[in-house]
Amino acid sequence: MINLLRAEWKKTIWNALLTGFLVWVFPVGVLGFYLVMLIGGLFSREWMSGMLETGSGLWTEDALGAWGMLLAFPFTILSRMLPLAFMAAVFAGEYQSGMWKNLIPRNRRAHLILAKMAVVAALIAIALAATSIVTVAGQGAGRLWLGWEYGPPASWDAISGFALRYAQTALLGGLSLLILAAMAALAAILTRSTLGALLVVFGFSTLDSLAMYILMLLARIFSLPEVVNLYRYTPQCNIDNAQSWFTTGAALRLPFETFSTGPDLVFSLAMLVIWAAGLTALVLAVFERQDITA
Amino acid sequence: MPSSPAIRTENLSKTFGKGKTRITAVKELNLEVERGQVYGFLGPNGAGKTTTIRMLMSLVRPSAGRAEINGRNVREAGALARVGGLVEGPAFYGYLSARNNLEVLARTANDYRPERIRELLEQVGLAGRAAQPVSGYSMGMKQRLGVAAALLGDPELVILDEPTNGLDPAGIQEMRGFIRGLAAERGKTVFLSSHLLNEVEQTCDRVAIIHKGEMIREGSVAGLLAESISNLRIQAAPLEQAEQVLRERWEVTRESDPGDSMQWLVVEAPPPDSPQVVELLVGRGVRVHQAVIRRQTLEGYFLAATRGPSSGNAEVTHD
Repeated sequence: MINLLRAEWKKTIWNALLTGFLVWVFPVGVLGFYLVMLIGGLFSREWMSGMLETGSGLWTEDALGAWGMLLAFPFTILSRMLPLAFMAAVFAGEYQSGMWKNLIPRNRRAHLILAKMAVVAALIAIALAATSIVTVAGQGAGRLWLGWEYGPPASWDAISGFALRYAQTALLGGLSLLILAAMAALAAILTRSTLGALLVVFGFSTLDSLAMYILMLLARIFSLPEVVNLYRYTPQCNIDNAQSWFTTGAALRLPFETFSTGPDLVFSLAMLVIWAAGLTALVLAVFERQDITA
Repeated sequence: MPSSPAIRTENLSKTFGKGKTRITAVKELNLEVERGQVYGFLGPNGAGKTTTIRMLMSLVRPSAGRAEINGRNVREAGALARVGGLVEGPAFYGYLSARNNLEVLARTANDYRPERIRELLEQVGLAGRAAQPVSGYSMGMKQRLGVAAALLGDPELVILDEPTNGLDPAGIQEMRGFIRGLAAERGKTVFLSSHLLNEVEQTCDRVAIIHKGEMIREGSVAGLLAESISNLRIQAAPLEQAEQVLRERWEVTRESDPGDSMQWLVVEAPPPDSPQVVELLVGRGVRVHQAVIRRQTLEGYFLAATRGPSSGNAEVTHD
């Protein structure tokens, strides 16, 4: 499996156009932003301070910001697009290049798909972690230059508290990535084309992000208020709810009469695992039976 | 299972689509390829060759029947571990070099040996351009790389689908030698699909002819040619006497070459009878100027087989 993962890693990472525009764009983009800020600071302190004022002033918060693109509703509607496009292109790319016919006889289909899912999810996680580091470094450099504080001070409590929150956020981010990767894989397998996979996976993701409003609309149209209770089974609800438990220690507040408080943390984590595992199992079952004819 | 054939198919069938769009690509195909053979799989475009190969390589699920390689069902995990294949033209990651493409494929098979990759790139004549992205390769270079990819794991069985596509005449000649060498020098079994009859005639030991998804002939190349129509052309004097003598035992017709007034007698005698034909004529006082055995090429045989009345509902003949 290690060799297979290395093969996946190599062919994905060497696709410079794809990874450059859809993965490394995050840390490189943030790095560019802070370089421009620092160069601009040479000429205007006001301009630089204006840019830094938008930050939280806490490195513990800034470091978590990058993961928000996968987790923070309503930004997820748009911010998931690039990771999803990357994943869809990677999976559909094997159909477009006709490479499955070279790969399938060399290893089990399940291993090939699982390795691909692991690599695309890991690459995005690495890009987000790198974005966290660049963000903290950029904010820290700017604030140091201006003589501003950038707290909290690096005490054991601050670091251990931050490590726990980062781990919790990364766990949710990882589960979210696995769900998205499985969605992208399924879309690519069903459509066998990059464009088709992109459209299907964007559709899935948007439906998930907007599930709360869609269910509210359906409840109103059909006069069935309990329909909104289905929201508790969607990935977006459980990501938001788990985030709420991690950050505030309480369940998510919801604007429904019949369902005003999110489920408990274990339920939400279990639902996310079920989504990730269920979609992955579906991907494996469909791919295992698929005829590779091109 | 050392005694099992390299390839065995049993009523292997594949249909695509449903209802009115249903197409039978392969119908109850029974093949047996012994180890160490170069086996030709002949058929016109759309005959079902590539679908058969895809089923052998576990890319397509058979609708019925089974395919075995070295005695194991191809759907079993690890059944294709000692099989290399080039299916319907080469495909590679254009942004990777030849070396990196081979590395990715070798690692996918959990069999990465850099020295093996170096050796293969030299064998197929790509060592000098191994570091360049494959997107800049010609079709012929990609074809060579495809063959190198097929041989990566030092397979016992090599399945090649139209391996000379895109090669220039010198490349075709070289590829034929290479394929023969795989069997003769390295003891590999080669299953070669082609619609180029000349290629199969020069390269293969045995041949199966497939048409509209069904096998219509199977046998050794020599056997198929021997059973095919062949005759004897005679120039003799006096011609009328020669014709009269020969008609006693064989069917005889006259023909002349375009632009030539000289007439030939065409004797429908199998090649082994040719000494008797000449002896008979000479014994009766006929002067024999020329006697030429005219053999049908595999191309002629193939065209007759795939156009003949039996091609539609095949009764397979084995040599």
